[in-house]
Amino acid sequence: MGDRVTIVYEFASVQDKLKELRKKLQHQLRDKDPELVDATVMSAAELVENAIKYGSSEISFNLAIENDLLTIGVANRSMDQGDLDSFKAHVAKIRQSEDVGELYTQRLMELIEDPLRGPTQLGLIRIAHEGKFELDYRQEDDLIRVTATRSLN
Amino acid sequence: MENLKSDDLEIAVALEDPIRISWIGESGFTDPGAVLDPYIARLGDAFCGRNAIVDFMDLNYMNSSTVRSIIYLCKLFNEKSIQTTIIYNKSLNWQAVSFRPLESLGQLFEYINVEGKEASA
Repeated sequence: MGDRVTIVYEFASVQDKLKELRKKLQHQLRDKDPELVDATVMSAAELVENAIKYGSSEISFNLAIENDLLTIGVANRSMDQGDLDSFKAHVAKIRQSEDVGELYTQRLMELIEDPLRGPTQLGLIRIAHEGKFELDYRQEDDLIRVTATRSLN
Repeated sequence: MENLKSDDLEIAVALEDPIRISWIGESGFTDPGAVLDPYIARLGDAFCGRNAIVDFMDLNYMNSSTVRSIIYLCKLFNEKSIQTTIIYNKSLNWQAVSFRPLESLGQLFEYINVEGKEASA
């Protein structure tokens, strides 16, 4: 049976909470492999940043390590329907991709065309590519729960 | 050219030849358009036609908005004919994974070269 560590934070809204989240996670995971810590901190921060950008001011976050799986969960309400559709399509594209590194490179190529305009749309790709997490989501009315899961083996 | 010190990120400019632009600390800007991109634009104006090293060896964290700003830097410095070598820390997994694709993208730019280096002991 794997160890179980659960960290739960509630966020009011503010962007500088991201820094606080990163510091707390670095501290909580300090006995883990540095590569895993970096990947988890980046992925958690990207998910929360997305939730802040596209969601409501109330965001819940949790991180659990159980049965050799590390799961990050972020939930928020009130995502605009267009943003929600775009998010779902983006996750589906990442999940279906056989080479997420190629997706990352493709997105960088697109950004070269006009790096200062439009959404970055790199965060979820980085979570899958750099963080090696598997992305998923569940929708319950206006609540969207996004999870990123990675095996510890 | 002044250094940038904002939140947990410092961008230090050393007026050597080549000019060394070192990113130090953490870059978590959620709105790079407010601080980071205008600063990069000023770097581009200040060093037009010069040689530069952009050093990320001491960058400990960046968010995806920062990745976009780095793409902007590459494009701008190329347009400004700044012969640029971008150095990243390939000993750090996150930097290796994030920056390695830029090595191939760097081939699209006449003036940009991207190199991974091992951190010195």
